[in-house]
Amino acid sequence: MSSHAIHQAGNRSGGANSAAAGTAKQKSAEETEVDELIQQLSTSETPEVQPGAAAEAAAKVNAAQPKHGKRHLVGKVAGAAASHNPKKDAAVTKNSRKPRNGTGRGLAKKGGAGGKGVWGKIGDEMDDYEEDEEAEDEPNDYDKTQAQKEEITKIDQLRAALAPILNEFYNHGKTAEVVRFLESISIKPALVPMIAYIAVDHSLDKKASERELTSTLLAELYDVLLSEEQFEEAVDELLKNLADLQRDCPTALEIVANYTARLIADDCLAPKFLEVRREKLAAQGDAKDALAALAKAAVLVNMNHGLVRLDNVWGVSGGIRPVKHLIKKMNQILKEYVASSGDVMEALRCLRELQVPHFHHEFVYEALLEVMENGSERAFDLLLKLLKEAANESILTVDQINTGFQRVYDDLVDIVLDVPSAYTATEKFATQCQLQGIIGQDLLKKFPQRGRKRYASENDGGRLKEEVDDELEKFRERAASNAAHIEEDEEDD
Amino acid sequence: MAATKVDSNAPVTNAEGNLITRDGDQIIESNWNEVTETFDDMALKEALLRGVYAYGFEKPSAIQQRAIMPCVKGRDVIAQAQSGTGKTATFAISILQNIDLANPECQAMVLAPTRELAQQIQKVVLALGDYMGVQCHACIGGTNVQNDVVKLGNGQHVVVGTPGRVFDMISRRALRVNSLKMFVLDEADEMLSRGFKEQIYDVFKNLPGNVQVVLLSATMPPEVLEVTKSFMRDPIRILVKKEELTLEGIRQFYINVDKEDWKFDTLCDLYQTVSIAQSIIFCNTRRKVDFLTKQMSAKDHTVSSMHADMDQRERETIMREFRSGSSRVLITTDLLARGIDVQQVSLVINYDLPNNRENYIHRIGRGGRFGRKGCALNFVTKDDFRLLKDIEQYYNTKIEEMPTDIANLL
Repeated sequence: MSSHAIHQAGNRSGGANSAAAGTAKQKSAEETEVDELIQQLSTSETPEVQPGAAAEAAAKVNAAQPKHGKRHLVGKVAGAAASHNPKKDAAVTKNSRKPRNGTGRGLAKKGGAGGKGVWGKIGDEMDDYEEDEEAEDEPNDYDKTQAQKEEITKIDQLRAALAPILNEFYNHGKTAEVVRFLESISIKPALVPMIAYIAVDHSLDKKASERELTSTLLAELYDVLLSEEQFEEAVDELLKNLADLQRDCPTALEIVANYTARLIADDCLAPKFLEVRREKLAAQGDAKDALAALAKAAVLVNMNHGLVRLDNVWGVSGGIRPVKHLIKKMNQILKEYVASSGDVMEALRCLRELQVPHFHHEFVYEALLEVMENGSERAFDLLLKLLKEAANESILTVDQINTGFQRVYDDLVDIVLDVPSAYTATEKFATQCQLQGIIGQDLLKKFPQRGRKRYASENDGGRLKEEVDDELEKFRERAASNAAHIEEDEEDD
Repeated sequence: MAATKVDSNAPVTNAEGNLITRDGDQIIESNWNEVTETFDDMALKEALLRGVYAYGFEKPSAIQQRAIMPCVKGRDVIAQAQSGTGKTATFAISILQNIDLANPECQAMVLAPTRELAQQIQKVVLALGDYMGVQCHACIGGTNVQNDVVKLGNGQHVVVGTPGRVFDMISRRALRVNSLKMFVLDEADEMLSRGFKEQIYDVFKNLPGNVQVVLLSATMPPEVLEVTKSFMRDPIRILVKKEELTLEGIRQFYINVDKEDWKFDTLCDLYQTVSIAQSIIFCNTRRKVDFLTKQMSAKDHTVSSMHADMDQRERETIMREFRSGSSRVLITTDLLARGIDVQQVSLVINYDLPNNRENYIHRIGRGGRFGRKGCALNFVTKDDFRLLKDIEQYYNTKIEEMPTDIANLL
């Protein structure tokens, strides 16, 4: 009879297990059942009747539980679910004299691992994962849905399947979508580490902001799909193929080093990994590039505050960043250029690296502001040089330059309140820009009348004043809407 | 360059003696003033012409009108224009026109900054040359090195790859360049910024001395100029200054839907109250595309949807279906936003706001050349408002709340 009950319970737990998101409630109900079973088993008068069945059931229960662990880890609630205490659920059997919390009477164990109020042995949480892998062959509903799709057994297949997903990911930036996809396909276990390899490989064709996203994705995949060993395997593969990767991407060495360092910062790899690999590769010899990459990664990791800095290993660029942040960045580029470097190529390289070609009007705007506020000859000449070069190279397109100038024109009524020379300085600069061919005659002609000045001199207090006030009013409205937006931002920060 | 204000009828020359002309909204600077306005006038091989039309081209773009003929005539050409202006097709057509199919050896080589782009170029060349039986190979490397070697050994008329990869193939003697006629550098600025300078020079050193060089680039940093100076003889320069995409003339609105769950109902309301000839809906994820496609179909809308994992042919079929009007709604993601140019679409709906601000203009922006009007609707939840403000600032534009008389605007 007991064996029948066991089977039933085993099946049931298997079924519930397949439910997409097992809530904590379901789990507790189930665990109660399991606890009961365990108790029945242990109190059974005839343990020798069907030991095979009992063992089988126990195995099933065992297999079922880590699965839960995995499913729960997918969501963010992993911690909460894992810390769930089964003691409460066992309360129904309050007359039982057996320990009630499933782990013992609550006394500390030798070695201080289990017991009441203790987290468990270091590495306990890893064991769950290991068992889970072994249980992969265990058929249940979850696997059945997987089996409908053909198993991916070749790296090229995996690459082909992942490429569109990754490209899409670069656009929407949602790691959960990628995880969902990866869980929906079935991949040969030996090929799983290649997910990380392909993600890195694919990002070689892209730029910094996509690499940043890829790093985020890899960190998210840790524990959900990939273990430390699998990350190690992926990095090994990258190092092995480095020479080939460098053919299609000359900076691959640096990129792989950055990824490795970032993986360490994100706790996907142990810091020890670098040394272990270096020793191993040095012993093998003939892996100069791989060693160089590892050395680079080691430098990054060992830098002062290295691990914190690694969060920005890919810089901070791209249209995903808030506008406020981009403005700050552009401002920094200009300030640095004017204050110290005067290096046109460097400034333009930084601008290009931001990857926001349709926001370049802000760069023009900020440059004009800098001309006014700085007021020095040096700043004037340097910024003129910068804009001229940028226009020649077409980094700043005609449209972006025009928009930038137009925005300054529109805002002059307000800027002049803080920078009295705003009109003269801007007009002088715009004239020079026109002479240098940066802007057209028509844009120069649009330069606004100096409303305030004329108002003062004509002293009629009539139409003109209203015009100015109107314009100022318009500006204030605009500024208010932007400011409200930025304040919101700051609240959140 | 000084004179950018140009009367549309009177061509003006700038300080460098380059002719400045206007084509619609675009300002073009060039030292070559022949313009070929249709593909028919280009005297292309018949099979190629069929390929061009089958690919969906109707009229050559500004850069194609000017650059194809000199390329075909064997001149060195520098074409500078923003991406998405049809540069790839420009050199692809020229290559196909000039190669001798009877000769199996490599006659044209295209260098590209990334493997991905190399593969795209290969696809374009193969599609345009579909009726010619052209052999075009993209060198991918990795596990496929051996495959590359075998394919190249079989004879390829056109070879595409990154500079490093192509140089590797040459030094392995897998790729023979004796018959090479045309050498194309696509996205030269991007290639150099990725650190391919040495490799480009390495490749060039191995080419026959009389090879024709075509260089395409969006920007002209000094390194690119250096390349043009060292490789090219008396090149023709074509510079299209105007950006291809613009928000001008597009009315942008937002609808406050408050919650994600209410978006679908809002969409249904919209389609019920307003008759819309054709529209494109953009979602952020393919899951949402699927969801929306199912839901819309359930409500008896004729809907097409496009996925990233569909191959080119499937996508073309769907686009044809949509262009012909047999389906009225196209649902897709950002990945395919670039390159969708459907003239009759009056409305673009951002079911989700684009996560990357750069994508906004690719979704709703239009080629300024056509001067078409359009309307864009953004569905905005409470959490999205900041993103909307950000987009306004990013494009220095205004997105207003949808007026109640939206029907009159479409």
